[in-house]
Amino acid sequence: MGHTNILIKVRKSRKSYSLVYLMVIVIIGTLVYLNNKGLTIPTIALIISGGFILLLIKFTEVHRIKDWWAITDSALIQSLGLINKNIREVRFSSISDMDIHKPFFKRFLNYGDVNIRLFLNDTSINMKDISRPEKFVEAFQSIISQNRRNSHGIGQE
Amino acid sequence: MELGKNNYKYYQQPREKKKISKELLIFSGFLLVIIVIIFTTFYDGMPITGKAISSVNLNNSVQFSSELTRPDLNLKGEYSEINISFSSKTTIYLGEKSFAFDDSKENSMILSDFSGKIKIEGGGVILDGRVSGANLNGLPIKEKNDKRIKVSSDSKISYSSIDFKENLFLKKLDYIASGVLYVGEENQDSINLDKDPLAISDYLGKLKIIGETLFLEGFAENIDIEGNIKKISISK
Repeated sequence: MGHTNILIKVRKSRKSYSLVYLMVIVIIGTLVYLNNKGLTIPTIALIISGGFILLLIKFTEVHRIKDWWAITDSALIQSLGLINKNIREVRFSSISDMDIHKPFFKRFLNYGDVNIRLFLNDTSINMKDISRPEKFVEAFQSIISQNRRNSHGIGQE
Repeated sequence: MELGKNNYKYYQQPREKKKISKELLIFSGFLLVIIVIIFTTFYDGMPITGKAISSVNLNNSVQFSSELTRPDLNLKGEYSEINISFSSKTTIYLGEKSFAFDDSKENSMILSDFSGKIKIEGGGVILDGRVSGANLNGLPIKEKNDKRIKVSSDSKISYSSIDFKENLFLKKLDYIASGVLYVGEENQDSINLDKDPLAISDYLGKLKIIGETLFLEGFAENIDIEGNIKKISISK
């Protein structure tokens, strides 16, 4: 599985964790508000809040980096998992079509799912929560076209 | 499997166990943290910390007053009025204003609605909290819009007296004390202490320190004195 020439590499967008970040902001905001009101916040509350915030951020980062997708000049590579890795490489010739799924909420933050369907195979590749999925699909299609042009060019020679 | 109408066989699909989603867990954790922050801030001494403050049951408490040697105290809470007399070279910060004092004369400071920590150590007091207003040597200090004012000092304030005007609550006062304890409604019984271990539990009453003497007047659920020749435990 040679993937020395990675042209595009994508992961889940941080925008998909916006609700988690909002929770962090609400917790910090509550602490600041209570402090400004002149109330003494007990140490136990600060420790629990700080610990929870660190845990949330750690969880989102780990959750984000565990899956990635990469496009080389001839294949799409999917890597799922951090400890138990599952890597799959799909040649461009196996790809039949792709579609974008952007529900109402995700449209505001411009991220969504890209679904890559394959010929003769039930298992499509679902790239969840990619930032700017239209641009990604456009770039992907352009790479596929370039690959086809190159292979036809070689064939003709 | 059952035989239904027309002898069709009906298979009961096994119910799938509903997994608790990660999102629900995170949201539950978030709600719990918010509840802990609000509860512990407004209800100091909640059971989680193991230090539940409850009002003293006067029917089950011993009424007493005392003149004892001064202990070190770490107080935390809300106090409606604290009067401090001091002559100390120090700077007191009230909000963004600073007030410099010297030790050439006696000064007075009245703090209203103080919430925070008070550390009384030896003959000095360290304040860390906020007040709704203050009065320094007759000069009233209040923020616009009734905003609470942060109070602190650059050094320990050497006081000559500290007086908590309203009743305050002490979960436990435990130290080696000398002085006199008057027990009963009319102070009918007196106990002399001479460097004896004294433990007063759940005290509610007045507290005043003048010089090196601690004056208490109120109620306690339990008073324990352990001396070389005596061991006294008083409770109702």
